[in-house]
Amino acid sequence: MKRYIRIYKAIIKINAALILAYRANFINHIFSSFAWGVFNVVLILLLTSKTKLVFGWRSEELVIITIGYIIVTGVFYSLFAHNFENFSRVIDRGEFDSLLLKPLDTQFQISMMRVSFASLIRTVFGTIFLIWWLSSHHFAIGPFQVAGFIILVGLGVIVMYSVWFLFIAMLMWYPNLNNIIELLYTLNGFARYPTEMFKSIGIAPFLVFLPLSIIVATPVKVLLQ
Amino acid sequence: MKWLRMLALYFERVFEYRLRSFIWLMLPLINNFMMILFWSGAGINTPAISSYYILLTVGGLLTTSHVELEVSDTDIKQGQLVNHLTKPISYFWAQLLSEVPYRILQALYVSGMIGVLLIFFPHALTISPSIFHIPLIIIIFVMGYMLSFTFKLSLGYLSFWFKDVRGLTELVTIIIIIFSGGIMPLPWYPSLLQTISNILPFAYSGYYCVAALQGIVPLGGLFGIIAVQGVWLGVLLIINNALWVNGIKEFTAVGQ
Repeated sequence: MKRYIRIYKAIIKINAALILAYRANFINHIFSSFAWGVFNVVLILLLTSKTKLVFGWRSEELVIITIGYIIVTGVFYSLFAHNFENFSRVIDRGEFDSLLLKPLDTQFQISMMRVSFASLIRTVFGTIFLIWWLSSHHFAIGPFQVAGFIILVGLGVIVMYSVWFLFIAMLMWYPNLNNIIELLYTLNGFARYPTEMFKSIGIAPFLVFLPLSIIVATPVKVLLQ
Repeated sequence: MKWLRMLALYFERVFEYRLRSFIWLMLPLINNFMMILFWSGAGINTPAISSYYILLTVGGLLTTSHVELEVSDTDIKQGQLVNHLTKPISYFWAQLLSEVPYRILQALYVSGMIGVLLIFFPHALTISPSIFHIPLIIIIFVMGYMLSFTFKLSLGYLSFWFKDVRGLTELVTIIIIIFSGGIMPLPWYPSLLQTISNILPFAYSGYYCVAALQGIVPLGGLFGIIAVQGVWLGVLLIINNALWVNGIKEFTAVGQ
């Protein structure tokens, strides 16, 4: 375990050095990541301008789910998503055997070799916006709720990782299916709505969507308790 | 003959990766399915709103072009444009032709999707255009696609000057989703956003195509939509041509 922590520290340093090498690329990614964060807020504000209550959630609470979604996806995209984007190319170009031969866990290599610092802007934006939103709408939040929220956000990131990894494994059979990443980005969208939304379509589809739908809604429920 | 041969080659390429194409179909379908579920929770679950999002999926698949990334990344940045420059067909038409088989495959998927939907949920889709409106609706869809294609192609041409247009492309995608009625029907937007949407071209390859198909636009309105689409297409074609003429002077490719 210690060895992997040491290796991961080295990976973070290498990825930080890449920022200096490709500065324009970094700024570009910050820009687009921030834009998607803002878009999610605009989306929910537009939707809630027409309705004040959805599946028992007030419009202010729905905005908090969206902010939670921005925070969770910011963390996930920084740590894992860009690694998975690369996996189709690794398989398709026959580079996977070189990963298998290295004296490192293959899943670790697939999942954690790249860190996207630019995507963290989304988490920073989400956190600042969450603090402002909670204070401006007079939500009373205690330290235990905040601690519960942070722990559950961490667990949510792990659930999201697991769902993505299940899908990504399909690329070993269908390496040309590189747009499965786009599908996963879209499926992630389920996390920005209340869990109750999926209960309304019946138990079987609900169980399919359950892992993604609890990623954000559950931490937000704990935060607002 | 030259055109047919090229079209056949493009068909071959698209049909080789059918599953990929199916996943592209799934993306708007999932997004709009979420919207239908959302409104059902808000007590707004009318056939009109379900129809809107179903037809938005159909409209999006048929009229939204995704040409910009291939143009900017593959052709301009990686230099594949050289192959096109030596061919006896303009780049604009070659790109347009390459998208035709993709649209046909998507149309086949869409037909299947609507067929299944009508069998299992006959009330989920309400389309009530007059039979006399159908030729005009077809024109609106073709013009809507041409608008999207010309705009996205022009966006891709910006790579002649900028190394990475991905950030800009994503920003434009967001703007298109908002101002084309991708979130909800335009009449539900605040008045300022409605006004901006009506001025920009995006609603004319999104919302207005869906509204025409839903049958909620009168005959005069259909002619109005086509007129605005025509004006915007003219403007975009002029911009597109200017970008190409000046951009190609910036392009260099070397090899051994």
